[in-house]
Amino acid sequence: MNNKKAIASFELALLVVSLFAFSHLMYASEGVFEELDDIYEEARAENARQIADMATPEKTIPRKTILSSIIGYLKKPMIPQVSAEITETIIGYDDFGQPIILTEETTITNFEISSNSFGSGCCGLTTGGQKCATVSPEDCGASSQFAEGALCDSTSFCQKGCCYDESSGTYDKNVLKTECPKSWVRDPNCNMPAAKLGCCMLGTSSFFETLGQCEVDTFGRALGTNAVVDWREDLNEAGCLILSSIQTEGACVLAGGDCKYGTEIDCLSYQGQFNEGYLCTSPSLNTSCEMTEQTTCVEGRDGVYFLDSCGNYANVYDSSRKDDPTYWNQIVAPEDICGDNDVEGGNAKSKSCGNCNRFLGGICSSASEDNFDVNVGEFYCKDTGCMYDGDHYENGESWCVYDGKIGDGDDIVGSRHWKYVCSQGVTQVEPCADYRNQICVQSNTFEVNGTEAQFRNAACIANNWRECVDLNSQEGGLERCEETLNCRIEKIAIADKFAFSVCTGKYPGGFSFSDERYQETAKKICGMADQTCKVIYKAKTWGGCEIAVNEDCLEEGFAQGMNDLCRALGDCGGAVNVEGVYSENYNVKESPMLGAGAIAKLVAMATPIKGQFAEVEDYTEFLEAAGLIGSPGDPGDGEDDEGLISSKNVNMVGAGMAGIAFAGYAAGFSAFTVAAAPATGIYGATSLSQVATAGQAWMGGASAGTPATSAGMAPFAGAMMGAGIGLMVGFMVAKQMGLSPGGSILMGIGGALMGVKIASVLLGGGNVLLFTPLFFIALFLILIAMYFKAKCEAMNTDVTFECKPWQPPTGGSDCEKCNDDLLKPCSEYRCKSLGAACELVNVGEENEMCHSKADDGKPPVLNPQLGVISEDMEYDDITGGGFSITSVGGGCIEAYTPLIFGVVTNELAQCRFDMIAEDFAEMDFDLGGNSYKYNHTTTFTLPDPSHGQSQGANWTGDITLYVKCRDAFGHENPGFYQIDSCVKEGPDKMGPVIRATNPGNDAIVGFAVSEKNVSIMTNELSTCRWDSSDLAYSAMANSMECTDTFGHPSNNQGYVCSDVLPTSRAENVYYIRCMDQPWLDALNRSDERNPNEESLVYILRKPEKSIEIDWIEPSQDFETNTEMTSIELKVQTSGGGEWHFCSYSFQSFDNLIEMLETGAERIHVQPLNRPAGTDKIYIECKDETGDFVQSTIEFRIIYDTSTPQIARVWQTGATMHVITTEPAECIYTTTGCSYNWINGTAMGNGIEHSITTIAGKKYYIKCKDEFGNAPPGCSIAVHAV
Amino acid sequence: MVTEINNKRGQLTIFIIVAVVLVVAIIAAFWFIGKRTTETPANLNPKQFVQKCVRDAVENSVEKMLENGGQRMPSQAISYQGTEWNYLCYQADFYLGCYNLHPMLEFLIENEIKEDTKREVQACFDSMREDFESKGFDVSGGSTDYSIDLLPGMVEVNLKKRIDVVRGDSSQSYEDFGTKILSPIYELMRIAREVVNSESQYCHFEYNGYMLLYPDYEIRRIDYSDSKIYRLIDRRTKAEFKFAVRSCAFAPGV
Repeated sequence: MNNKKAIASFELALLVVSLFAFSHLMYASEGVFEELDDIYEEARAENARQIADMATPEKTIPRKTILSSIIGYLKKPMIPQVSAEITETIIGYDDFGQPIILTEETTITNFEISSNSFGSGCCGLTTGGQKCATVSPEDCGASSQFAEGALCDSTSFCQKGCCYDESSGTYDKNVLKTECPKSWVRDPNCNMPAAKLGCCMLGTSSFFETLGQCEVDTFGRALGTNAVVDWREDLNEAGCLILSSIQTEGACVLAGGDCKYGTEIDCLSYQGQFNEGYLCTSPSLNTSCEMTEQTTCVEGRDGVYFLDSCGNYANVYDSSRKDDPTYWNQIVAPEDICGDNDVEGGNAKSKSCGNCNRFLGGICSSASEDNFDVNVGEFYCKDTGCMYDGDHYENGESWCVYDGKIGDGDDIVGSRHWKYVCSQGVTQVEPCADYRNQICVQSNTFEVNGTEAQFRNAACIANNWRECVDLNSQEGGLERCEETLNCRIEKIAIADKFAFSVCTGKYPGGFSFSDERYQETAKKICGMADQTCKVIYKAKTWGGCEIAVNEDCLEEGFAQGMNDLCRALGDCGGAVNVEGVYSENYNVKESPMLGAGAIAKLVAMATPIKGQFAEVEDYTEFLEAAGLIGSPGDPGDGEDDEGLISSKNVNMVGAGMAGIAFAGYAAGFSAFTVAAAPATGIYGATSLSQVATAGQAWMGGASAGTPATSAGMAPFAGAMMGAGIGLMVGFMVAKQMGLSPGGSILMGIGGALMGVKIASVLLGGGNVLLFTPLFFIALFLILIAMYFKAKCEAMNTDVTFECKPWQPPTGGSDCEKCNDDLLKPCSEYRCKSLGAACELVNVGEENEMCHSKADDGKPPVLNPQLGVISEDMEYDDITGGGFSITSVGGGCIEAYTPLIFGVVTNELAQCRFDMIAEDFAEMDFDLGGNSYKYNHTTTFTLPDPSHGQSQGANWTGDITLYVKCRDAFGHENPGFYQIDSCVKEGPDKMGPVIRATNPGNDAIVGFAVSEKNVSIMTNELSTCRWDSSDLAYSAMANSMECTDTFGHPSNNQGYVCSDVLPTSRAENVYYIRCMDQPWLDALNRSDERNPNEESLVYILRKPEKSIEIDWIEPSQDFETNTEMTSIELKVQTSGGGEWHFCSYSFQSFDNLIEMLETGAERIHVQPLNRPAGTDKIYIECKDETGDFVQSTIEFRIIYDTSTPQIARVWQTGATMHVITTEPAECIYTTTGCSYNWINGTAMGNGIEHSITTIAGKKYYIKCKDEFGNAPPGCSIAVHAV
Repeated sequence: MVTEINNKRGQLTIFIIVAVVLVVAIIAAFWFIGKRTTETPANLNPKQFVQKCVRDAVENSVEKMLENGGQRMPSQAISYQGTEWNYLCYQADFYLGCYNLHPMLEFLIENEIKEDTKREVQACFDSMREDFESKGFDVSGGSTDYSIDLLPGMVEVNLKKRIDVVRGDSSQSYEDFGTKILSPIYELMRIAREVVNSESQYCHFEYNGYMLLYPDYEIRRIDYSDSKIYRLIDRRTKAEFKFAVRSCAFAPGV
């Protein structure tokens, strides 16, 4: 018996874990586990009470408590509201706290909810027939409403609500008003009292449904109008199901010897004689029903039951007792049923016993359908367990299956997470969302009352990888990375000064290979791993060069480490597909590519790791993290500020060095200044500090020599001064010449000796002859020092890694493999990952399959992309082998003008180009990205050849681009497709063009911000200045810092100059001008430089006041009549910038969720579905300047189930007055308390009610409040006097 | 002499044969005419005739409803395995919960079945009338009151039409042609509603837990393209309710 109880407990636990794990029960109570042991007894007692209370079924029963956190955990939307598109700005921080800046310029925007977002808005009905979709205006139906820039949920015409029909008890959520044929209210969650679910008993079955539905179902049954509605609102779904299985049953003997087996309630409806515990075949009942050898399955029960001749089910099938009259007399106690001891298998596959138990492994099923030989009848206990991959799974268990290694950013391209379910002996497959937008998580155990039970449970949940990537662009995002669901930090520590961290998804997302729109964004995401490692050389002490910094970047580990980062960002870089086929989509310069060993490791990832699965993480936090979305339209000042300020700090160090170099220049060493230009960043800082130290040493020496002069020791002092000056000059010359430390020392000593000699000659304190041995010694030392001249800087190497979107391998030999595994159905993503020639055919048809395109054996044919070319340029000399690009009408094209051009291919192809004729694999540049497409468009800017020539480069104005394209089968165009052009060569008479600024012109800065770091981007290398007045360039007072070098713009908009501008006023106006060719200064050709003739008028504004929260709603307690309440959290803000973004949290300011409707408007709205109780909500609003304000609001949602009370009754004359404790509607009759509301006479609404009475009569008064709470009987009965 | 005798005998035989034939013919005629005159409207069973006809029509229609997610023809659908799967909940945008396209699904299906079968129901009456008229009866009918109710375990056909069958002085009236068809469509529709409500609110329906609680039903979900294909199967009858949902769809990238 104890054993049985344990089994029962296990059953219940499984049942309940299904509630917890499977979340479909919305109203399960918090304390289900604790209550389960009592449910049987309570249910029995309740059953008896129900029968007794049948006359007054409307009694009020206390509700259960609200959703438990676990239920809430699983009930929550599986989709995070993902956020901002990848931006430029900081993508991570190196181990020295310096930002790693992505130089791609983009704008921070929300992830688009629609692929068509430019000028888009909510459309009521699109031209394609879709309702309430975000589309561009032209795609919106002519007669449809359109709200530009609006979320559909926030528009009146696409608002969701509850469509309901009280009479049938039907309540449907999230319905458009126009689609509702019945009543509609603006509550998408249908939080209405009548929508409450309860347990409806229909004979031996139960349904968890509304009262209205229960009435329909009850009267719809054959019982007809005699039926009694048995609806119990206090039971949850589990209790309801249990109740159905433990109802008192018996034989209901009808007139004429007929008999129906069922519940007592049913029997009352049939108006029969109920015999509890008896079967219809009981001899004592004298019915016409007889024993048979037929068996049946019974709805809602697991077992096989005997069937009598009247069609009633009897006891559990037991072939040994088919002819035993005692077995057909009464209901047999559970412990006396056959197979009660089979706690392992639930009597699965028993020929003789039908005591099935679906949780233990058996359930009633047709023997003939399953070809099972059963002793008696047609049914048996089917084995509900499943075998998969050598493991046995119980009915209801689910587990995760993967295509390869998962986690740590190692998920392979084309892979998918799969959830398998064992359902009554059949293994079902549920593919998680493709492109790894969902991951399969699994838990193997669960806890019931402190005891751990084994039960494998899997779920497909949203993959939060977008949030992980986005964290890199958020202030403090990296710190939050590891706390954020599905995120991890990819630590890159390749070399001593090349180490940084980036937040990536544990399970990187997949990208579409064929959709150009997503390939573009894939390019940006993968591009986050485009990094340069600067290998710095330094001179050895006595000659030669050695690597000072980042030597390891020259090893294969660089490619491996960077490729790991690249892969972790998504389908990027060198990675394998589900068949383990490797495809290389990265580029490394100045360092080895991945070796065979590294590639073998990647290939091994295509084999699943036995026992590996994604663990269930904290889902609550996941939601919170998912709510932390980026800022649509936010220029990203907050983040940029940090980045730029940090960047500026670095540059300030550089500025220090520049100052020293300028001092040397002023001292007459102008010929060497150019070589002193430092590298930016930490490396520049290091070398600068060394220089600064040397400078300070010299200054110390100089001041130490000064007093000697005043002491009358002129010759000695002069010699010392000369030595000091000579030493200084020697060091500076050595520095400018790039001598090694040893050379510098010799040069310094030589310089000092020479200084002594020159001072002696000039001051006459010694030998006045110049050419003394000392002079020659000095000269010798100087000449020797020259030998140690080491141009090590020239050896500095930029090791670069380019991370590209992953592209499938050429060919289509693996396509068919996608169709092989029925438990892993093929998809477009999976199919196309197997080969560039693979395509999914018969899409939507029964024979949908992955198939290779036919190989025509021909290479792609190239042509110019007519119509796509820069303004004022044209294609010319078009032949089969190429074309040229000229200015309109002929001639060379302007330098520093964006050149847009493209080629088209007659089939899908990848195209590359280079300035020299090389193999396809060796070419440096992708023509329009590395994906397979028809139109290959690119943009770049060509510099003025004379600018290169002036710096010693061998540049000419004639340019030839060699293009090669490769189709899906690897066929390349023969030879090279050549694009010829020429660039106008100097003399350059044009000033630079300022292409962009950051922040943008007329931007708003923080209210309390006193200065702002501003960057400007120019089309050519320039120096820039600014002033508060519109002056000529030369007259402008403030120089900007321009650290880019020729040919290496640090921003895709051009060369960057930056400075910190004061922002003291409400409107700050600056005039900015630039001057090109800064290198000409070093060549004494400054007059050839071209300044801007007109200033860029650049404005930064400050808000009138800081952003403030004006009010928050709900602001006070309120009552409701439902357990859950739909509320709108509303926040009004003022002041601040143009964009206000508000976030909220129920826990703290640390885990904020961005509100649904926020941004451009000043009232921010978040729909919430909240249980009754106290809510404290943390709210933070910030604007695009980074200013923010925080506030909290606390209120109570009071679930009002109390009925209005009568506070006072009195009579004045014939008028009776009644005062209620709360506003109420009252009615009365003079016949008694049992009357329907509609039969009462109205007494009015409000607190005070009055009626005219007749003396001696008794008035039965009933009052109900605004929520319909009324007593089952009377509120009061009063005698009139 | 012998010849005369033989001729008389032959003549007699012929007379007898003719007489027998006449008698048989007369009896047959009387029998036949008598049979016709004894058939009255009361002997007919138009109700059974119509009910069977209507049941066939409604059963076919119920099949359509199961196949097309509660509609005669899918109104907005996705192709999967050669079948159009009707959307019951759809959101065109990414990352957002779906709109319930067909609230009050029960009424919708009832109305769809009615609209789908009303011509056939009328044809059933027409067929019955033609049949009876061919037998010499006059058949007249009143207006038709036809509706469908989905109920637990069955589809109730409410069909009221006054039919008068007259022959001579004999007449018979019929009014109620209602019938019931066993089908789990009501239960499957209820599950579909639950799926749609859950998908629209939470972008998710946990079918595995549902199957554990309600083992009589099998629910299969396939994530296809960016939609979810749902198959709700009654394990006993193998009846299958098919529909699709597009809720909180993900983009293939960013």
